Order: sequence, then structure tokens, then C-alpha cells
Amino acid sequence: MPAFTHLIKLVLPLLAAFALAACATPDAPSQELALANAEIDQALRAGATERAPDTIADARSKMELAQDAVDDGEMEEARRLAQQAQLDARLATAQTNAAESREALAEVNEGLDALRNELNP
Amino acid sequence: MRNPVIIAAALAPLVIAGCATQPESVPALERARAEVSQAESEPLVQQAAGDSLEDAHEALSAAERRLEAGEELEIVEHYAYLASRHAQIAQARANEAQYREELEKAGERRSELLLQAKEGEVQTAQQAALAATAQAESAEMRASELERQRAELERMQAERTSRGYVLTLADVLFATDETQLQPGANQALARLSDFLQDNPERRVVIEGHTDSRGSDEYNQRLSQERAEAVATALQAQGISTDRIAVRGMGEQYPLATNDTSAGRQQNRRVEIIIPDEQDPRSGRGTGS
Repeated sequence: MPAFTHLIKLVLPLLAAFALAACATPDAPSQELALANAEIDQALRAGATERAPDTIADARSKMELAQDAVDDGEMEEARRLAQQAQLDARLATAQTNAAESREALAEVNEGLDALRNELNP
Repeated sequence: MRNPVIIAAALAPLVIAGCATQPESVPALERARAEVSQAESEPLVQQAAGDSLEDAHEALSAAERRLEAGEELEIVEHYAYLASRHAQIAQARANEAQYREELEKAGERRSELLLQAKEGEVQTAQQAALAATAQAESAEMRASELERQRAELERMQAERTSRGYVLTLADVLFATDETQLQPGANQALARLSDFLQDNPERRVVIEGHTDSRGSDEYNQRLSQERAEAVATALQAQGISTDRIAVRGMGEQYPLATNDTSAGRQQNRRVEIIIPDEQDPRSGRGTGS
């Protein structure tokens, strides 16, 4: 029926516009990507490679996925991945700091034991 | 004629709904809820990482909202993931805070121990110093004591020889061929006995000598008896016998020639040897 065809022609663009509007993507999430990279750098400087290797590896592989998503035009996914990577890196830093403190404590305790032995043989 | 707008409006929800999936439960979200609840139950986490806990709650709420709004699973899981990470960060920060606190305490303990050790060292050093001073003082006393003895011996006109100090009682203190000491001898012996009383660790060896007139046997016996006479005199002045050794040397060790009378007189003598302390040698004779 010609009326129906006319309807489809009218509605379809509207539907397409709605669909696009619902799943619309912004530009590449440059801010999130930058923040994530900054926290990864911080974690690496803190020594996360030695003390929180798994967590920092998570962060880095997520950043790679984020970059792939950007290349694929999947900006929302890229943004999410970057946000996750940022927190991965933050966790790596926190874990690294905790491990360092724990090691320092163990060292001081060892020294204390030695000192005690020296004083009370 | 149907209104196209109304139809579009009717169809629109179907399009939007087509983007969402709504499962019953989201494991990632349940995990996140558990982790956040666990983290905030610990007071140290509240204290040390309050802001991380807040972030965790925010992310959790966002996840719940998105779930209720029927958004994509991916999005709900994303916020659940962020919530989990915030909770884990809170835990790690709390751990660090605890280690730092213990590190500080351990550092204080170390300082305390070192202070104790230092005080102990000071005490030990003080004790060592006291001991050293005491030692030095007694060494000084010893030295001045020896000095005093030496002076005393020299006042007695005892001669310094390789055998120690030697006090020689001349012939005149004995009557000729007699073994009895003349009274004048007592004065000489008095000084010696004073010395021996002042210095109880010293002892004497008394050696009698004669000139060569007469037989060896005679001279041996004479010299022995004269030495014994001196010993007796010393004993009479309070010196115990175990500090006195007596030997008759006969005519064997003349000081001078026996050809002149002056020489013979010199040879007729009694030598009282005061050996140096701890000197195993004790005059001539069989000793080494």
C-alpha cells in the first residue's frame, strides 16, 4: 500500500535518528586517556613493576584495548576502559606503597631483634 | 490515515529497549557490593581511606541506578568494576597506614634500645674508667712503695748488687774467732729488722764468710755459726725464721787479698742479702 510505504519512509529516518541519538558517541575520550596514562606513569615510578606486577599489567593491557577502541571508533568503550585502567594504576600504586612499607617494617624488626640479642646475650 | 508521529512514538521504545539487556543478577555487581561492604566494616579503612570508600559508594550507586534503568550490562559491570577497584584501593591504603604506624613504633623502640645501650655503654665505660684509675693508683702506690724501700735499704748502706741489696756486717762486729755478735751489731740489725717488719714479703739470705787462715772445714763451720748468730739476732727482733736463710760460705768468696791483714779483715764478713722481690735467686751457692 502506498500509504504504508510512505509511513515507513517517514518513520525510518526518525527511528534512525532516535537510534543514533540513543547510542551517540562523543569525540575520543582524550581527558580520560591522559588521566589514565598519568596514573600509570606514577605507578611505574613508584615501582609497581616489581611490587604490583599483575595489577599494573592489567592497567597497561586495558590502555591498549582503550586505544584499539578509539581506533575502532568505539569512544564510549574507550572511555570506560581508560577509566578502569586509571583505577587499576591507582591500585597498583597503593599496593606498591603498602609492600614497601611492609618490607621496611620487616627490616626494622630484624634490626630490632639483632639489637635485642646484642644487648641481652 | 495513521499519524506517522504517533506510530514513531509507539515504535521508539522498542528501538531503545533493543539496546538494553536486563539479567536477573549481575555477578560483578554482587562482588562489588561484597567488597565495598567488607572494606567499610574495618575501622582502619574508614580512618585511612575514607575518600576511597566514598568513591566506591558513588560507583556502586551508579551501577545500581544503571541496572534499574535497564542499561547495558557492559555499563553496569563497568561501574561495578570501578566500585570494586575503589574498595581495593581503600584496603591497600589502610594496609599501608598500618605498616607505617608499626614502622614508627618499631623506630621508637629502636631508639629506646639504642639509648639503653648507650647508657649501658656509658656505664661500662665509667666502670672501665674507674677500674683503670684504681689500677693506676695501685701501680703508683706500688712504685712509691718500692722507692721507699730502696731509700730505706740505701740508708742502711746496703749495697745494690745483681743479687739484690747486700748489707755487709764487718768483722769488728764479731770478736775474733767468736761467733757472738758484739752489741754494736744490734744497731745495724735494728734498721734491717725495721725494714723487714715494714715489708713482710721481703726475706733475707745470711751468708757468712771468712779469710783463708785455718782449714776449710774450720772456716766453713765458723762462717756458718756467724751467719746463724746474725739470724738469731734478727729473730730476737721479731723476724720469723721462714724469712731467713742461713749459709756458711767458708773462705771461698774473698772480697780482697788474703795476703794482707787489711784484706783478710775485709774477707771476714757476714753478708745479709735482701733479694729483689720474686727473685728466685738467693745469693750464691747451689742456687741458680
